[in-house]
Amino acid sequence: MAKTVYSGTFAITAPASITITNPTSSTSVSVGDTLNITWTTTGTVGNVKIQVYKGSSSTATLTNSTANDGSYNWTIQSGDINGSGTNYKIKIFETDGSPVDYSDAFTISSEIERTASDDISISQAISKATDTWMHVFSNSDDLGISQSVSKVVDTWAHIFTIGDDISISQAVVNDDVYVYLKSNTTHLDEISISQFVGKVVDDWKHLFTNSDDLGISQSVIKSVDVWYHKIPIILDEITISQSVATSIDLWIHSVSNSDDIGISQSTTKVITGNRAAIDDIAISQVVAKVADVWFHNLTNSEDLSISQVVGKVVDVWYHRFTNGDDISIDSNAVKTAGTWRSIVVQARQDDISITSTFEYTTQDWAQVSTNIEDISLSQSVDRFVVQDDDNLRFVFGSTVIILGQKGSLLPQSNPINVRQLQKTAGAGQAKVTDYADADEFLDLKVKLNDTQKSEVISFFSNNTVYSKNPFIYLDADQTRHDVRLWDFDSIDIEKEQGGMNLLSIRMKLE
Amino acid sequence: MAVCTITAITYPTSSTSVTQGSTITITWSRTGLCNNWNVTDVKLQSNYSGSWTNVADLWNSSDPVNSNSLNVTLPSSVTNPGDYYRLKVEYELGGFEP
Repeated sequence: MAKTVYSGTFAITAPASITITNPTSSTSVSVGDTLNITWTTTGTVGNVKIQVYKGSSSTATLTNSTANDGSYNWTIQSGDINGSGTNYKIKIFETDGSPVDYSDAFTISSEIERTASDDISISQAISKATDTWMHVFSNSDDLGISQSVSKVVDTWAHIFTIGDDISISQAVVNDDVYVYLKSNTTHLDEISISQFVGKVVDDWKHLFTNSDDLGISQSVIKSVDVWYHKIPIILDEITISQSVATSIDLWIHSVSNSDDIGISQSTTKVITGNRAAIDDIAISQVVAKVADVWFHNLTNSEDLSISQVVGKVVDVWYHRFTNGDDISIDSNAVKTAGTWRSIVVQARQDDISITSTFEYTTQDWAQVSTNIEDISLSQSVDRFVVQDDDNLRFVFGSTVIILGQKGSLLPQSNPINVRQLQKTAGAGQAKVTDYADADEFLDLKVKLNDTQKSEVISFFSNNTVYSKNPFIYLDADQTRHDVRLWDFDSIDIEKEQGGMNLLSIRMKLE
Repeated sequence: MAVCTITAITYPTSSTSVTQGSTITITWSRTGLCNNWNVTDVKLQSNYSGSWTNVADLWNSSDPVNSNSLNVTLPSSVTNPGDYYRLKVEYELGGFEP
């Protein structure tokens, strides 16, 4: 016979355990970050102890006893860790030793990343901030240096991402700052240097992407020695307003918008660089010399405007024009270029406008013009040097006499190319027999057939002001353009033996 | 002499808390003549549904025990950890010696 008895009711619980839910294997944090450590428990677990491990070694005890509430915030200090690593773990265990759990291995970087404004503020009298600064900026006003910093850093690897990253406002004596921008700068006013900077950097690799990236307003003796600079997309990226003795020695510069550089006063030497848009360079006053060598690619009108007293624009100017009004020089340029290699490749007028008082324009100007008014000389040009590639021509009705035209560029229906006809004219064609370019006179002798002679005679008969209005073209367009460089001094046509007519023209310089 | 009877299960009690999967030692007190006496079955019962029902067999009659204690192992996972359970102990009454 069996009998049954029951125990009292009793609890059956899950065994005590701790499970860390954060960090996980995908966690990556840096010194300065706050890591939220979270965990869950089963069973009965009292207060817990939390430690940091790198591999199998503890690097820090974050707390010897904290409530088992499932969360603990750890602001990572450099002293809590042992350098950067991908094998950090968090250990949590009940203060009596069990249960225990380790997190997944996660990553801690010992380099500081900043994420808020005003991350660094140095306000007074720092002799040296740091030797090496690996710095990632992510907000405005990350660095503000307001007074008397003799040297900022020796090496500065710097990523700008927001405006006002660096503000150096006073009296930086010698900051051999190497600023290397590993990625694009994307906001305004990233660097502002307002007063008395002896030297900004020795070598500055800088990629600007927004306007007003660099503003230097006063008394910068020398900005940089070598500046690798790319200003790709926005206006007013660099403004140098006063007294820059030498901006840079070598400026590798790709500008793609208007007003990329504005230099308003007293710049001894500006840049070597490439320009690509409207008003790329505005030099308004007293520029002794713009550049030694300027590799220049202009693609819009008014790329270069020089309004006053330019001693010399460039020694060698490799210049490729593609739109109208590329260069405007208003007054008193002593010498535009020692050698000016100019190629006007597209179809716009007024690529170059020189309005007054040049001693001479260029010593060696190799120019290929394809449109009218590529070069306009309106006043007091003592001498315009005509080279072999220039398109200087006279037009008499449909008969065109081209001086200095090289090759086979004969756009008119019945042209007479002086130089070419000297070499190639056959029977029945106009033939130039003599051509002299003196300081005061231009003598031209051309052999014409009877048809061409009729054209010339008809022209002079129908143009009563011919003596004051010869048509001299400096390009290949058919539209007349009166440059008034020369007046006709004498014109004569004689019949020669063999039936040809010899046209003799003497032009007198104005 | 009276038959052997368990007067009380002394462990577990209403103050006992054990973890699932653990091995516990059931103890009891008995009275009477217990020479020919055996515990034949121990079942774990739950009252989760409102009435006591068996949820696990912890001991059975194939290996009856005649002592004041018995080691049993609780299920490694119960349906409702933290809830209350009880043990149902069945035993054979001891008889007179022949």
